[in-house]
Amino acid sequence: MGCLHAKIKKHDTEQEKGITIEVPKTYTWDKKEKVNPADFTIENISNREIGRLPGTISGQQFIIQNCQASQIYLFDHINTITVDDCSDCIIFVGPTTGSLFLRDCQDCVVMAACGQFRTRDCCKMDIFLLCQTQPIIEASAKMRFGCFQAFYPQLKDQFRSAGISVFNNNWSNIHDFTPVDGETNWSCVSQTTKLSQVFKLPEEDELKSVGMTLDHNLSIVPYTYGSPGYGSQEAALVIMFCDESQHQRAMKFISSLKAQVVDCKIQHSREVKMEATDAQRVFHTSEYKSAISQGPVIAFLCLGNDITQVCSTIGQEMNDASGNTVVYVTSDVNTSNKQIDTFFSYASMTMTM
Amino acid sequence: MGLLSLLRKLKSAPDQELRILLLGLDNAGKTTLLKKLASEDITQTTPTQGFNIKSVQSDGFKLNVWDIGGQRKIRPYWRNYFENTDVLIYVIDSGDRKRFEETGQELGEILSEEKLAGIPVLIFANKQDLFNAAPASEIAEGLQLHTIRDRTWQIQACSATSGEGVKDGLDWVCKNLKKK
Repeated sequence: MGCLHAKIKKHDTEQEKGITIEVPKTYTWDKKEKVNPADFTIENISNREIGRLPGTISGQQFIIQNCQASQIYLFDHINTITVDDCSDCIIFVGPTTGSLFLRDCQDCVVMAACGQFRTRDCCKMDIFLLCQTQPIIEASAKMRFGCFQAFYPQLKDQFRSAGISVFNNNWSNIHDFTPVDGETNWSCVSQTTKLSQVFKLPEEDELKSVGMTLDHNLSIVPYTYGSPGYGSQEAALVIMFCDESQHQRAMKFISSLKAQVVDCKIQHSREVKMEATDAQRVFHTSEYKSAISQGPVIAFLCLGNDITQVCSTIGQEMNDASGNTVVYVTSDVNTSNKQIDTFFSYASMTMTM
Repeated sequence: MGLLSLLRKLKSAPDQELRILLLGLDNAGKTTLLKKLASEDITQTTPTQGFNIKSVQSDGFKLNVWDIGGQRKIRPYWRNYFENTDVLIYVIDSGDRKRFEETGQELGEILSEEKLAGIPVLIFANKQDLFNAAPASEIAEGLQLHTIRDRTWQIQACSATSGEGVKDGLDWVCKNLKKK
């Protein structure tokens, strides 16, 4: 009451004087420490190798612009990044929480992990990507996409810091805002060899010491073959439910699978939150209602000979070991394709906004 | 809730429904802003291919917020959404200095549209959390907002990801709707 009284009184006096006092509000950014832009910008270089070591970007915004024939390695997690007016460059972009936006670039090779991937006015780019959402291109031509494959010791933690899931990868499903009749502006490369042919590792001592490798067997991001569909091959959908060991279990599943089926393929990898009604539609039972309520599921679409049998065995072993249903594998070859379609159409639906 | 506002709430008719149009260049943060307005999770926001719409309750209003994709190719379709707009919110990526001119041109064109004549405009100077962000005052000057004479306008600094400044912008919107 006292407060109200005081307020009225104050208001009266202000009115008497005929003035209004408007105190400008201060926001976090008004008080934030100014950074040196040069620390988070690489610009106007040519024929050079340059980069940032782990721990030197720490989730800041980054800018790359106007670089020619250079190798640029950003070995840290980033908030958001724009790459403008670059040509003939090799660029590595560490886990980026928000968007990676490439504009007016050509003849570059880019390896990046990001929340959003966007291009405009780009040409002849090789992109090795992990993207949490559907990548988009606009007014861009001769774009080739492949799967992100890289390892260095700090990378895994950087993914965690950026809030980017290594299992949720939509690299092969591109939306083109400006399709041209009779032409394809983009294509996918589904060969692990392609990357090592076009992507140059750092040579300068400091950047080299980070220890980056392109070996897809060591990659922090599981290698996926992406689109097109799985055709006539035998396919199995593997779903890992959320608990504290989910991520290790998912990695272990892949290595066990590769050990047993040498020519197996992981076509797609997703990490999505499921609701009870979606689970019912995919599993045709409410049995997994509590399992999916624990958190996002990790899903692999696996292809290969006898893949259902092998995946089921590995899954069963994991369930036995944990004494709980932690892995689901489509077991009936006849119904699995339907389940796979239902799951992936659900997964792409979660990505519409 | 104070007694006065409680009485006012009881007295007032069902929520007045209003149409808010959210425009701006691609990657400005429109969808993140929309999700924030609707108090939704903003992680894993996808680049918008068409449009998104959400209803937000605020200050006795039911705000139907339309968020339209901002790629250059689809900007000609913005006009399809102009009809019956009560407030325009224009979102700018304050850290994207390369495209300040482009965003200024688009805003200029929108403000000269007959169907949007006299409609209040709120400009969100978004992404203030980025080191490269231009302050709202600098953006206002660059866009020559002071030359806008045919409508009420406001520029509000914000960070859609953290939510800071978003409510202040929304308050301005509601305040202006009441004047109508």
